[in-house]
Amino acid sequence: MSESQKRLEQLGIQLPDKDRRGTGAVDAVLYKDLLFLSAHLPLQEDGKPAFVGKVGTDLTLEEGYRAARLCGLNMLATIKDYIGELDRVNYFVKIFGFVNSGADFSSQPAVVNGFSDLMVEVFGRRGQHARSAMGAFALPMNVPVAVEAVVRVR
Amino acid sequence: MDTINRIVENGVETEPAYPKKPGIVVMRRVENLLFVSGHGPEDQITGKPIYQGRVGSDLTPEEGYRAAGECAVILLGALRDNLGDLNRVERIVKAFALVNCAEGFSDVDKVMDGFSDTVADVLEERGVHARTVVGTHNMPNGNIPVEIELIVAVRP
Repeated sequence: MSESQKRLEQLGIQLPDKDRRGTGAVDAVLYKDLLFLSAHLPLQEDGKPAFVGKVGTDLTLEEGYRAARLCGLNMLATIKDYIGELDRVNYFVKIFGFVNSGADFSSQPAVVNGFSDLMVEVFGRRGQHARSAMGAFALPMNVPVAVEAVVRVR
Repeated sequence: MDTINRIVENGVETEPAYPKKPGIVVMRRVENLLFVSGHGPEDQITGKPIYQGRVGSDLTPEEGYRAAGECAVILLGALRDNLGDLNRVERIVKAFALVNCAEGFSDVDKVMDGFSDTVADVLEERGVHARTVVGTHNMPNGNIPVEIELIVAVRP
């Protein structure tokens, strides 16, 4: 038992328990010059999804594209929050786009273009990235798209 | 051999009973980043699943949460095995999780909280991580409910 623990016991002091539930996951982690972004969802400012459902079943491809673009906007806000200034983005390294879709839908890349196109609009060549896109069976809050990324910062 | 898979019989190290996949190692290091293979809630010696089934049908969300917590314990064990001491973990950088879902189940974040809550409890600030959680419908080993891979920063 540590010295401090012995002292607390002598004093009859019991420290309150720290409950860390719900604190483990954050929007991004900066490690050296790499910013690892969690999957970002197409949420409105009030935290509610702007779109729900599966692309191709409940939503059109165009709605999926707009949802992916909103994931991108939310991610840009996170990036600015974490590194202070979008000029500090050196370049996007890799993204992974997940499209909530039914068995008959396979235009996931066209949906994820909503995210990719935005980054190229904002950053030019620095916004280009390696990418994978897949169909997901389910996503948090039943949103149609989620996108994660790794960004190099300067 | 991967230390987490080491078993000792009569004082002699042997390979585990379940077949190892060729080409797979538990983790790979690049400078001070560890890339850790996906782990499900499976017995690390026998390979038997501790939990099986889809969340929202075979398993309740609460059981899914506990399965993710089991993955956290397994992953922390693999890290401790590989590094010698969990104090050598600088932080968990990022987690990627697949949750096996029944039709209509999408509370995948709440399932993954089983992992995130456990590592935050054990590693405190160092357990805070970026994460992505995706729902799927078919998983290995008789449809385990969750699989989690990690990127971990280590102290030299």
